[in-house]
Amino acid sequence: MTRRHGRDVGSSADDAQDTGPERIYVLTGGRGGPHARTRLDLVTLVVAVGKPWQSSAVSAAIREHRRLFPEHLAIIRYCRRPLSVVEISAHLRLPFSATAVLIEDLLEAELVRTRAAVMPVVPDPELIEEVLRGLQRL
Amino acid sequence: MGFNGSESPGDLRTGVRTLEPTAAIALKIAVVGPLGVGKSTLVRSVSEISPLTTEETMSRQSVPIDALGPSSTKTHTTVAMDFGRITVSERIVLYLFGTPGQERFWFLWDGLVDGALGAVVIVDVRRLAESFDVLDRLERRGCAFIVAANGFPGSPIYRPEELREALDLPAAVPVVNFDARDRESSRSVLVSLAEYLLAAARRPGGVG
Amino acid sequence: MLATRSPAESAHLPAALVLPAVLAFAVGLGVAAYAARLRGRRLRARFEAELEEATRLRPSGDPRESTRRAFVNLARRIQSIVNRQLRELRDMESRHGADADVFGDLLHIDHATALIGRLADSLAVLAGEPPERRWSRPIPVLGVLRGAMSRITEYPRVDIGRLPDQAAVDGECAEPLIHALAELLDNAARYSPPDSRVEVGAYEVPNGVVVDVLDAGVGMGPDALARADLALRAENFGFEISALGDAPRLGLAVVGRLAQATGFEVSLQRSNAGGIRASIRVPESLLYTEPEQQPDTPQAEGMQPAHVRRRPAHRGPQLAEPAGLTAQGLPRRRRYDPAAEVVEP
Repeated sequence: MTRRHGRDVGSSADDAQDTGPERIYVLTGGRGGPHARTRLDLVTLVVAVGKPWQSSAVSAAIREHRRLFPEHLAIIRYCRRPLSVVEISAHLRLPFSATAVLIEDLLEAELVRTRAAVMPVVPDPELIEEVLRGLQRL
Repeated sequence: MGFNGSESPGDLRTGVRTLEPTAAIALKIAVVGPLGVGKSTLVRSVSEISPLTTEETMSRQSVPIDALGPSSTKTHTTVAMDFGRITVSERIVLYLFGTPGQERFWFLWDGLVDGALGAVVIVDVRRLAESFDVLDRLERRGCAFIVAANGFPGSPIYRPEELREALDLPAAVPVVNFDARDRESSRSVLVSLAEYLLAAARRPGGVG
Repeated sequence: MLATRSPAESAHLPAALVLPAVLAFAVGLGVAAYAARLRGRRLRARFEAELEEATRLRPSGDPRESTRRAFVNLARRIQSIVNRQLRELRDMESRHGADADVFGDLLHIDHATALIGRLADSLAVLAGEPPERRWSRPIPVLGVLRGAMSRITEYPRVDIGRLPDQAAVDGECAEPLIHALAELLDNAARYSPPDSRVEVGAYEVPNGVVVDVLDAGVGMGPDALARADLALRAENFGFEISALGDAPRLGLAVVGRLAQATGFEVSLQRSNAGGIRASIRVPESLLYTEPEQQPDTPQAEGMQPAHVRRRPAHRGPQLAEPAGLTAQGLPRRRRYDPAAEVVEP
């Protein structure tokens, strides 16, 4: 079940430290999650704005936003095309809330945009029909 | 496959398989059931990406928690929710989440079952009672679901009506037999779910 | 100030007699602890010879030594609990990663735990024991900086400036650097206005990497600076119980010992802006550099040290290795050399 991470926890005393010396609160600036107004679902799709992965744009962003870490830049890179928050979280190997904080930073810096996930309270028949057709085609 | 044939530009450098630029709507489907019932197997069978694991961590599943002493931290390992992805059209992508059904993992359900399009409850007919909790919980949350009995080698096969009766399900709720290891069989389970959801959505009053 | 001892501290026996022997034993213990980990047989043989030399001079039944050992024991026990708790917290943070309220609370406890851990680490260092924690992978400079930030109260006030793209510290040597940097960051934050920023950055020099910590404090007068420098360069390795109470002295004494034991250099200067610039010069021997990395590739993703392709010849931290011991087994001090001070690029 750990195939993605292959992390062998605690095989020796030293390995126990292999999460590294950095703690997550430094990455999030102590924030436990994004602000309430930033609604991020597991499957909210995130996509980069413009071409921020180009090095000049990134270094400008770094100069402007001092808290842009490599993890932020990784998200920008992942999101040249749309990607869900949960996938970003898995690739970064960070908990969902920490990932959401980083994405919020990028939203505020206008380096990424989200495409709202549809959360049907009453499912729309046309949507489901499209899903059904897609599944039948697979 | 249609939408998944080409490698997207980001792939080579990041190893991340992104969506098509046109993707705009993401829908969740929860795959629930007791431990070892085939949730991850189903997800793996139909996913277009190698299944990923979220960072939720729990005790190693094969070891009962009570059997572990107070210094059992080394048995903690990252397992939790496996998820996969299916692009069904230019704009719609389905995310499948294999979600543990035991009570101690119900906290995982909040972001998942709530707001999910629907759920597939996988049952193992040899230990059917282990699925009762999960069904209760879905019903209470008003989440539409179908039941899929995973055919393990050597396990008896029951007719859907027999299972429906045992599980006390309304006639409209599909109950199917399938093999989680088989892509086609797993896909047909999702098709059954979609058909059920569609019928319910077209019916005045919706699911339930 | 730290170099002088009050008579009361060693009143039970003539200082001239006891101190050299105690210091020698303390060094001996430290040497033994390191020697156990060193891989090279040649190095180990050398350390064993030095240990033998040092222990030859050890007096038996010394009360200071038993106190020292009690402190070390205590520190190690706290460290072990803290390490376990940090591991468990990371697990819990993952498990409750979808619940922002619980997750935020866990981060809060995590931070407090890291602060306790640093105190225990300092206690051990002051009692003459080297850091035990080590990582099996190289830690990028950013990881060292963020690791140090993880252990101070006011980490949100720290800004990370420019960093070398590729430099990483060998996993075996990173801990003393992280600890020393945490002490310097803590001092910088503590002795500057609470709304001011603390800046940390790093740059490559011909023989290593320099990490700078800049605060916007009122600075120090020449006397205070000289005293602080002396604290950093304290040549004694004995158990300095008197240093345990006082924050700036404690921090600097810890930094000084870590520097001496590991082989990096620390200096304090008044910065042009008025505050203090603390610099750590990390020698090449403690570094690990990834040669092939793309400049714009993230050094680390998900707070995991990047995997590396090549391991350098191992070199663990060594007690005052560059200067060695005297014939009597005393640690040999390196004289302060202003010319060796790192000049800013």
